[in-house]
Amino acid sequence: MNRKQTVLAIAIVVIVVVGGYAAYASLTGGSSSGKVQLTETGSSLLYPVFNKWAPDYKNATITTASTGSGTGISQAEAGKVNIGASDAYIQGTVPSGVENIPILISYQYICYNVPGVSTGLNLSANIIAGIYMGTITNWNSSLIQAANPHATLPNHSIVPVHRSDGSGDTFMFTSFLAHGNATWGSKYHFGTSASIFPAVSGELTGAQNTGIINAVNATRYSIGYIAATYQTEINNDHFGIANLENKAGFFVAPTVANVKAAASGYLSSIPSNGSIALQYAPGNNSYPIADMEYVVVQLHQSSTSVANALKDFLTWVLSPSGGSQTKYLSAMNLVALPSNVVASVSQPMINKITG
Amino acid sequence: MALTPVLIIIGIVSFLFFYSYPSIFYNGSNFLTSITWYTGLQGNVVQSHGFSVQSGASFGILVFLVGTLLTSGLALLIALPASFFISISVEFYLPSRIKSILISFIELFAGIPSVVYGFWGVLFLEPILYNYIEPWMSASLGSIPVLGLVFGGQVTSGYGIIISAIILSIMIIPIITSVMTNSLDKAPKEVRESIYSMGATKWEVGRYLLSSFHKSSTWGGAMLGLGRALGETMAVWMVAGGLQGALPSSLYGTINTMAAWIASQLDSAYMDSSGMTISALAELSLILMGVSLIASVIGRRIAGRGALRGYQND
Repeated sequence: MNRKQTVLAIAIVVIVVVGGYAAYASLTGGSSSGKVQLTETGSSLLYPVFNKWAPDYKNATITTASTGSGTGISQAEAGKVNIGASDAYIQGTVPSGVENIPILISYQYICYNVPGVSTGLNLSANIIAGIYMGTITNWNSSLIQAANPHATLPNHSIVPVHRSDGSGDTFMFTSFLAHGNATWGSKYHFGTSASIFPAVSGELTGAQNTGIINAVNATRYSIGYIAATYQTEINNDHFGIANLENKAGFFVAPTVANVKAAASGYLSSIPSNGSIALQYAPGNNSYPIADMEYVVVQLHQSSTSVANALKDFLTWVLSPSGGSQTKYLSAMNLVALPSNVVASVSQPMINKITG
Repeated sequence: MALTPVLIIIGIVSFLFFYSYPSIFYNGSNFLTSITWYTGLQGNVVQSHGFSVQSGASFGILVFLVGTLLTSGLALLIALPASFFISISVEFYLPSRIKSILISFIELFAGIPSVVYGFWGVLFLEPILYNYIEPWMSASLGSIPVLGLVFGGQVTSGYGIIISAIILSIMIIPIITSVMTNSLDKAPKEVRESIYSMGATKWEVGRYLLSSFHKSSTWGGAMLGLGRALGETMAVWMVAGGLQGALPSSLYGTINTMAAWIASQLDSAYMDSSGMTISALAELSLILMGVSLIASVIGRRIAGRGALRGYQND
């Protein structure tokens, strides 16, 4: 490179960096607004809703990032961010000075791409566990037929699809299997890691929910689990969405009403630290794969103003006239926490935050 | 200043050693020979051999090691002859103006981000392989004795070994082709003329130059391409289909590679509060780095420096 080219190259780099920062600063209102800045990172499932909240919440500047629940928990625990968003509560002992606060409820679809079989196939934890353990390998299995006496099931091997990356969706799905099927519960347990799944012939994996959607969409005779937040992406001819057998023995569809029923079914058993999975809830209408979404926060923040800003924001998030309005949640199929859970579990935890 | 690259490499290696230390001692040689990667019961940390670890955890990378070597090897098997044909036809059969345009195009290809290849693979190539090519391969080639051992098997999806190898080969063809056109260009005029004078065709001249006269540069290019393929992450992650706990059962099966596994497991590794999963990923990174460094160093040694100038292994 000659001198002129070098100068040009440096100029281009400088313009890109400065321009990028200027655009960023103008979008986020810059640092001169005098508002407290709160940082959020973690769950990719919660990322879209945080992005809807951030511009509408006027009392603080919220920066968001989609990095994954594990990263969210770890960075919030380490004090690198104010809010760590997670689809799962902290596994094991919650470190002292840290809380996982429930803020919303999400749920999951079991989707399948089986030519000739329409939406609404009845499936149970036993059937799905059998498929993901490799003991049920054909769509015309007698167990599936028994749950669907009127369906014509093809004689074709099943292609189970699961997430390849660590995911709160995997946590929800494997919790459901562990609650509903004794063999799965004792052999494979539950968690966020893809390493939980035993090897099954013909299985596929996908990165992120979109990876699962692509794989199920492209692969006939496949089955997969997809966060209900991806409703718009899965409105597709190839997909069937299963009705699932709940604890009470009824096959129920994944509707907001049935998800709310699941939360009510567990209402009395939610501990004060919020750490509970809502899978396989009691109640005739309870949809069996629903779970609470969390924010992980340090109770001691860097200053009183940051602590107050964080408390105000989280209180707003839980308010039916604030972040829990239908306009934020319905498009993403997220469900607001029942008011008594907010009052007895989440709000007391928020109130413990100090500067 | 001159020592900066050396210091950076030493820094990265010592960092990885520091992190992988618990895993190296906890897993031992099992790490290389076991097909099971299980992070243990989440949240249930126990002490084992002096290390904190989630109960039941066991880390083996054989599946990913095999996947990396298999996909990269197959990619090289496709890319080497393809680059051979491309470079000879570009050098000997095209007018010089078209030739220089084509060469810049080939070099541009080397700069396409791998996620673009992955995206193209998922949306375009996968359905074609799944619906047409692989079922045909399985039915025709798979029914021939002996060949059937390799090409037989059920096609359940288009993700896996074949698509990964094809995409990797497309990614490394520009690297190998550039090295080859470069060495054809550099061939002394007297050598060319003397082969022509013996009545050889252009094709025979090119073949001689690449496979005998500049053999070392050809192999060097191949090793550089291999080094790139071994470490490639995103594109393969998107099309590999994912495989764990089992070795690939047929050519149409899914696969997993070391690089893809590291990228996909980092978030859930943070969920392991004992830190052992992070440690195991660090050890895996160390091995991956070692394998691609070896390929790259061998490539440079065989090829000599001149032929490869400007082609860094990434």
